[in-house]
Amino acid sequence: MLFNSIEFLLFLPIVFVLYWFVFNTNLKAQNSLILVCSYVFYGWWDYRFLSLIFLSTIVDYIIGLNIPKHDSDKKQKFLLWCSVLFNLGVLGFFKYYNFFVDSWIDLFSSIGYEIKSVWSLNIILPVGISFYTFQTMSYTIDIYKKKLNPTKDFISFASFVSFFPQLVAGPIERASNLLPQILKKRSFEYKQGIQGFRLIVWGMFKKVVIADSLATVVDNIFNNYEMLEGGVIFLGLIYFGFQVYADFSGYSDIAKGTASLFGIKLMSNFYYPFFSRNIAEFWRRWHISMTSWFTDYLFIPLKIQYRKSNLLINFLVLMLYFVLIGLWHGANLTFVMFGIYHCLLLSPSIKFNNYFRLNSSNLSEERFFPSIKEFLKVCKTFLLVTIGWSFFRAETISDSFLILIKILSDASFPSHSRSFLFIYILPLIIFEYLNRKDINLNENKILKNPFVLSFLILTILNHLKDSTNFVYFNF
Amino acid sequence: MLRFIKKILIVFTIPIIVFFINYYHNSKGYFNKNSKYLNEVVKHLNEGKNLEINDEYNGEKLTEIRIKNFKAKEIDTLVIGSSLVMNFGIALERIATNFFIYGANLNHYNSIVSGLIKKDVKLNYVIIDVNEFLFQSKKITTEKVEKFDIGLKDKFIKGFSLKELIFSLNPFKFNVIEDYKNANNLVLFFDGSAVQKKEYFERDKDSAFKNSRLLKRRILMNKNLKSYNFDKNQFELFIKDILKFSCRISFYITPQPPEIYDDYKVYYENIEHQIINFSKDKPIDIVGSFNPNTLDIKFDDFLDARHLSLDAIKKIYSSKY
Repeated sequence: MLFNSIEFLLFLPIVFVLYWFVFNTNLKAQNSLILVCSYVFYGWWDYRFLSLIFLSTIVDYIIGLNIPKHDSDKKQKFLLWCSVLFNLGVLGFFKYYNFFVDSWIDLFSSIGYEIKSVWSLNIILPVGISFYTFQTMSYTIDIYKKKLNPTKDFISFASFVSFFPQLVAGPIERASNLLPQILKKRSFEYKQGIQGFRLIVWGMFKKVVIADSLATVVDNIFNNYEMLEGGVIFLGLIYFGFQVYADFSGYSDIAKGTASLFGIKLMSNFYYPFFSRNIAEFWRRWHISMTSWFTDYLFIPLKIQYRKSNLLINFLVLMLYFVLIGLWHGANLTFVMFGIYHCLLLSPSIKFNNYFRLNSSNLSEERFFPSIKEFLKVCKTFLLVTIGWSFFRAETISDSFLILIKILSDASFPSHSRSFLFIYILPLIIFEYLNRKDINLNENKILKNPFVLSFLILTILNHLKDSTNFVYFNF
Repeated sequence: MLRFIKKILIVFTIPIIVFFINYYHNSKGYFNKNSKYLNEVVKHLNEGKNLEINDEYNGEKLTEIRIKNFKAKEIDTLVIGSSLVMNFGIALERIATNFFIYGANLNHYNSIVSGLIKKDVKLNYVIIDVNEFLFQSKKITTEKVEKFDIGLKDKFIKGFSLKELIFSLNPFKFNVIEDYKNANNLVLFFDGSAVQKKEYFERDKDSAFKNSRLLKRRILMNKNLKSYNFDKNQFELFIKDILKFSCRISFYITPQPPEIYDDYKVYYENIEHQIINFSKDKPIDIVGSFNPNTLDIKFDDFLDARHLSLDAIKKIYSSKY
């Protein structure tokens, strides 16, 4: 079921009423309702893949329970590896099997050894597989690291794995954040509920009005880039950046808002990434739940292990980190290239070892307008990120380079260009700039106004033509 | 909780009011059969009045009502087609009963003809617009004129439409006019022909606009070409129905802009060849061609990258008759 569908507009109030008015007597009933509704929500797309979620749930539930039962680290590690290999195996089969087979075939054919593609399979990619497998992996890893105690309550654990607001496109919640909330009795709080409602409306507006309006033009531009001028293609890259952002941050807002309606707080996935002053800051603000997952479970352990190593090893660690982030998005070399591109942008800071240095300051913290220096830094980062979208959006690597060559070689800009779409982007930039210090939009006076909310709802309904998939459903 | 529900209801008050106004007015006939506005439009058209329409209208619904209320026992020239023939009444300077529908497909054509058969109307001459919409695959062409229904989902969306609201509340949804050249909006003639807004006819001077439309057409062609399929059997059934009227039939083929024709020559040649073969052993003659060169049609003759100017239509028709 899609958030931006009429089915969901009916589904949500029904679940809300059942949750707070019928099943509110005990926690087990509420969690059972969450579980059933989550399976209905997912099964609406394809009920066959519910078995995959269920299997993943059982495996990690059993392994999670068994890890602390063993005293020896060797046995605990063995169980952890079982969990990791199972999850990565499922992910690898459904998402990367054909990619690796085809890559091998291409490699052999490039050296003149032709292999018939009999190994490729017709595999459907289950929606949200990258999200829930990472979420369940974090559960067993945290138990192994003794950061979390396993739960014996299977219903609650299954609700944690399949919690419908964030099941198909995140945020990738940590068990240590979400599971305790599911295990605890919840009561409805007006402030949290209304805040959730506002986030749903704002997220829906970003998806339905901004992202979908941009998507039509972006698709036209990139499906026909050979016929278009470089200026138009570059505009397409800018639009694509905002499309992906509005689409995915819109989804995250709706997920967060929906969870709030059920008394659960999810982590924030975006923190105004287009106001970043450098690439490292961009990655701290973009898809936070995924980047922090890779940082905590891959990058930091590797950094600790190789802390005394030379620059080359450090570079390779960073490269691995970004290549995996790229690959996480999809089984295509373009995503690998996307990761390599960002790694190269960050590599100059390896020497100073400061690429993930925490810097919580916001753009123009003390003043209304940023300084010229800050502004130029934001523009530079935006430009570099925009160039990187060519790898993210193109079908093949050669396409992405052709796009970049076309931009550089033919910078002309026809009078009938598609610049009118800035009417969608500018209000978003202004709105986010005004809220740049408030990640949850808690203090936002504009969204507190019921007339503004009414207007946003009407605008959403006026743009709700066909329910279009969220971009990150493919990942 | 009560406070929360109250707040939600306040926020939804305006959208709900919009929905009820749109539903109550039902101006374009989306919600139920009884559209006061469309009935009035048809009444005026049947009385021989030309109307200036102040917004787009629901072509299918209007056609349904027109056929339902159709009184004439004889039609001299019937035009069936898409927007490509929307101004045939004026262009051909003859009394033509025009049942064009924007983007009409074979299902629309069938509905119009079967509606007229039921009315027992006598036909003398039928002009049928043959274009690529007609050959779209069945999947795309499921809607029909009779019992036209946009579906529950679309009704829900139309109910909240601000555009519909403005139209519903506009007391001047249409005006009766004498001179279409001075009208600002779409003009609907009593014969069912339509003429676009004034600025539409001035667009042919804007080459940047026309080039962008050309690009859009190319994009659409690339996207849809595979789904265009000449379904001979379905078309045969439709023609069989028309032949029941024992009238003269013309297939009107609109030339393509030279730039489009050159790029998709193989497709257009193939379709035209099939149409010619199809009409060979039937009392059907063909007016026009997809090939602009045979008719000396230039890009300048187009108002955009699809629709021809009135003069160009006249030229094509006079070359045949």
